[in-house]
Amino acid sequence: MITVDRPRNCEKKIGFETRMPRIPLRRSFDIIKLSYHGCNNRPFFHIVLLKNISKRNAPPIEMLGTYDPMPNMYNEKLVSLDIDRIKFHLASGVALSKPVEKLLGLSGLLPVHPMSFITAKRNRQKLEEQAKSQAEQEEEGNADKS
Amino acid sequence: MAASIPFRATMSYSKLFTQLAHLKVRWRGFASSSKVLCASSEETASPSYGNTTERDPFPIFVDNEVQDLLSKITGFDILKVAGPHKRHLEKPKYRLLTDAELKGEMAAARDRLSKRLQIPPYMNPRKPNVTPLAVDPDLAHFDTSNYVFTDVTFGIKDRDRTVVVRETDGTLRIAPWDVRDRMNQIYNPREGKEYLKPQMFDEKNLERMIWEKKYVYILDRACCQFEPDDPDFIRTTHRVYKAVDSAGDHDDLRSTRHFGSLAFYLVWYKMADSLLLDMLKRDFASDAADLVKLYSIVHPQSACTTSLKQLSSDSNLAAVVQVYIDTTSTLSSELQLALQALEDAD
Repeated sequence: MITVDRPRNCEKKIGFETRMPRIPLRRSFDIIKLSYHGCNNRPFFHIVLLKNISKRNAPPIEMLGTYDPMPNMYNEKLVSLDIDRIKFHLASGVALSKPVEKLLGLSGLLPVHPMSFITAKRNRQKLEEQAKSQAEQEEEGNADKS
Repeated sequence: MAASIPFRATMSYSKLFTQLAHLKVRWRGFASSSKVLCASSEETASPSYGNTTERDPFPIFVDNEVQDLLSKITGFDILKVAGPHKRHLEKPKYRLLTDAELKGEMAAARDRLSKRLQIPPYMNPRKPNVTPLAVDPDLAHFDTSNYVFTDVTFGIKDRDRTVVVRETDGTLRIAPWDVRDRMNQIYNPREGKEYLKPQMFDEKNLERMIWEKKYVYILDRACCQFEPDDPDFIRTTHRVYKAVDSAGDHDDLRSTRHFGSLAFYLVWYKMADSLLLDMLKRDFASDAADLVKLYSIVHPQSACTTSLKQLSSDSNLAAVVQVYIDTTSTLSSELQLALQALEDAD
């Protein structure tokens, strides 16, 4: 849908009807997404509610949690979620970014994201291949010795 | 653009709402199942315990009558409760007061100090939750590390907080207690509590500190560090109580918040004789009688309770203690002597 903007006072002066078509404004809606609050080589994310058109680290409408993607000494990645507020925003039809959808899927709040299953399958395949090649190498080594 | 807004782009509102309804059921189910889990694990785990721990001490401990007795025998030595302790240097404040105002101030101070004597709860150790919430073998190896999800909803209490773990093999389960404690300390830090368990609670260091008789310090620190139903808390405190009892240092804990717990522990395991002897030797006759009453409440089936009931209600304190000596005591001769001395002094 292209709207043509015609300033009325300009029309008479310039004297022609058609002007360059303007690009329409982007549709604006609320979205829950990650904003980067780490520093160099130390990622740390806030889970925030923002307008889709605002900048990544813009002051959020609401902060809904945090996500630390670097495993701690117990090999855990920590996620905190403000469950009550997230449920409220979901009910009022907010959009979710893909990483947030995956996190909520893993937390058991939403159904598991299909992409998580696919990555899991790929990782398993990779591991199987690694194990296979390792076994072959060992067999070759044994054959050489004997 | 469409990829970043999947719900708007791919899902109609009706579908989203059905999902949300499903989700609500899931979380409700989650809460109720966790309760069921606790209940069932208690039922299954209890028969393996000894005779004394089979009963849950907590309902007896929080009973008003028991609490009254415990706070009565704790005593209130104002020098010990508000005694000298480290604080920042301040100039003293002087005010001119009438007698009535002074009385009011003293009463307020006493009220304030009595809060320091709140007795930490005496509980059985908590049971682990073993049943997973969801098992998803298709999700195995989705990542190389576990994900811990913590509910940080405003106003939620540490004990009610939901913490779940998605493990690398795809199972979703309620977080183990140690993980829960760590998450509570990360998202709701408390003063005096450490993220890692201090080394002083290791067996070796604990023994050394007990040998140095730093009872109150250990118990205070344990109260800060652990939940009252943490097995570590129970192990540490019971070890200290046992040491205090065998060394006869009951007076060190008097007028501190730990005296009630000590008395309850000793009564619960039927080892209160030396504490009773200590009370009689220090002329705390009413405390001794209260201790015997506590014994009769905690062990309603014992011979002591039945003979206490036969006593008339206005009988004196010595008679109450005498009943205990006659029925249940293992140090009866010494207790008898101490009681005799107390009566002679009167």
